[in-house]
Amino acid sequence: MRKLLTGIWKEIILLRRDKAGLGILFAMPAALVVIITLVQDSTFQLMQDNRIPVVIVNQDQGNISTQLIADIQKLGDFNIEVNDQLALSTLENEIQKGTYKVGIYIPTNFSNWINEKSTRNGDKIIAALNDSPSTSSPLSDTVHIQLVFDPVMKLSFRTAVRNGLETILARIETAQMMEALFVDLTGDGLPLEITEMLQHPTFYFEELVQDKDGKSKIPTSTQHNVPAWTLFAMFFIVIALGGNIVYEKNQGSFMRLRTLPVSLMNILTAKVFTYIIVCFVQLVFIMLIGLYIFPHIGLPKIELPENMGLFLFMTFLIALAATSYGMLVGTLSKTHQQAGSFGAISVMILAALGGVWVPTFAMPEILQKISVFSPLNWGLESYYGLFIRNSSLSDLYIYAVLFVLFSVCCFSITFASLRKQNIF
Amino acid sequence: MTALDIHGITKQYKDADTPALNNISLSIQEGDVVGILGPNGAGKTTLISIISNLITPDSGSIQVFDLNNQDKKVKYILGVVPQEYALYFDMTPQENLWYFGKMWDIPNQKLQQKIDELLTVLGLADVKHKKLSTFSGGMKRRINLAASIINDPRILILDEPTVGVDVQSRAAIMDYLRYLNSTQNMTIIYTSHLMSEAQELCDYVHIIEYGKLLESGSPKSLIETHQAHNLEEVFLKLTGKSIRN
Repeated sequence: MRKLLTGIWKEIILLRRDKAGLGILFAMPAALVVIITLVQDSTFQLMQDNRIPVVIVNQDQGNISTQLIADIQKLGDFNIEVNDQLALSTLENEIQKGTYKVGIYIPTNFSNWINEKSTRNGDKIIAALNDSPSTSSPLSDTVHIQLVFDPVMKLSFRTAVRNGLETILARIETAQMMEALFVDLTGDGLPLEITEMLQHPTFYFEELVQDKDGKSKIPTSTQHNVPAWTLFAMFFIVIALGGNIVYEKNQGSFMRLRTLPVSLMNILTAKVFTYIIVCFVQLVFIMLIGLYIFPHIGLPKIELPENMGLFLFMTFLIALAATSYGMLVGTLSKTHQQAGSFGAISVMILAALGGVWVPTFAMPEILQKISVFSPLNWGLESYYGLFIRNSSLSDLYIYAVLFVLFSVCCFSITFASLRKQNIF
Repeated sequence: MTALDIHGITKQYKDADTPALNNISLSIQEGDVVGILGPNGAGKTTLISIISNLITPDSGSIQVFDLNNQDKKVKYILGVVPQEYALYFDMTPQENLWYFGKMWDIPNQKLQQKIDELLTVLGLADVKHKKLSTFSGGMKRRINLAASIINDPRILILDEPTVGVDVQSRAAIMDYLRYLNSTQNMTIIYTSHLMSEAQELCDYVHIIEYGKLLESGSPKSLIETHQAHNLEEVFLKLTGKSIRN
């Protein structure tokens, strides 16, 4: 036990004096969690604060286009400027220059075309109701609204804009068709109350996010990012620990230790304990940032999991897995550079596959299948379970088992490799 | 009393054509200072590693006093100074020696006394709280030696202990080895390329080449037998002048 404590004391001294290593273990994850959360949160704020600049060019000036513009403005998602003087080519140039992010170009005759289309659709319905063939001829040309996007706008945003416009147009078109039907059937226009009814949606969405206890809370960027980057930081110990093992191998201190009355298990256990402690310090450090720094920089405060016991238990298993992986990388590497570069890149890949950068559901199917092999994915699912879904051990036990198996595999290969290298 | 009895040691590495050691037998008496000499690749480090239990021989046996060298108690008899600086450069001499001393289960007070004594004798007391990374090669070699004798071993094994050190540090190391030998009757086994150093320090030398023991004897007797002026001439007569890799 005394030897183990002395070993931990030695590891802490070495770690404390490794300024670059400490930077990687603490400063880098702290910077990442703050920057990424700020970026994600500001994107959210950007959408909320109507700051996406959109220009609408209305060459039509008919009743439908006027209605369309009014409905887009009611959406409240954009900072809208109507400029009917712009030609399509000029609009394209302005978007290219970045003056506007989105341009909506409504061509001449658009209202007439929609009206005509609605009348003909009404005729078709009347004909169908009377069981007689439709006499209306099909419309000649389709009139398109042109959407011009700044290339920097992401596909998800472009899709959202298009879907919004489609919804508005569908509602307008339905109202027009109902009007045509009413005229055909009664000879009069739509009563005012029906016009108003058609202009407003008849159903609404209330956004609720379901967790285990049925409590609804909307996860913030903080709830997503703090656990994800804590996990990333914990696995980044692979660089410091891998380098530490390579140093001991190459410097000969492992060899000296072989001549002393101390076992390999004792030496490695001291390292494991030390780096598990480091992982917990990282956890506390990043949580403190989420609790006390985030509110001062305009970010939502982190809400800690309700089941703290399970949270600490899962963190211990994640730390054990990260440490075992660091030891494996250090044992298999021949140089400090090898351990550092392989360690960093492998953790980046495991993080990417695990869903730290991009959620796994957004990945191609093949990557989604591969992602279940990443320990960072197990960690992320465990932390999301604890931070967002309020999961219990019965929900997370599979990840606990996977972490234990992963750690046992890494330690076994480490032992076998050290023996093979005649280091112990 | 025989401190070390090496009998029929053979070792062949997997990727080598010839054995690193071929049926080596020799005996070392307690209190002797013994040099294992040979050109590069002769098998010196392999022999030292086998004695230190770092490598297992293919055949043969080693007796350390009355114990087989596979016995765990042998660790308490041997002190090994490896060729590498087997130290932590980000730690101070005090911390390095404390760490290795605690691995021997030496009580705190006794350990601190021993550390102070060693650092004073080796001229490092003033820098005991400075990181080794700021030290010269000679200073590191002295700490390397101190870390290996902190448990007062009866047999001290040194693999090229003076490689790359300045004259003053070499003199300090040699003086301290003589001091240990004379005051504690410590048996010292060491390898070196420096024949003058071996001639000056050793009571007895064993010259090996290609894993075989070529000749053994005191430096004086070998010089007389080969009608040479010094040990280096004897060495060259026995091993030739061709350069080894």
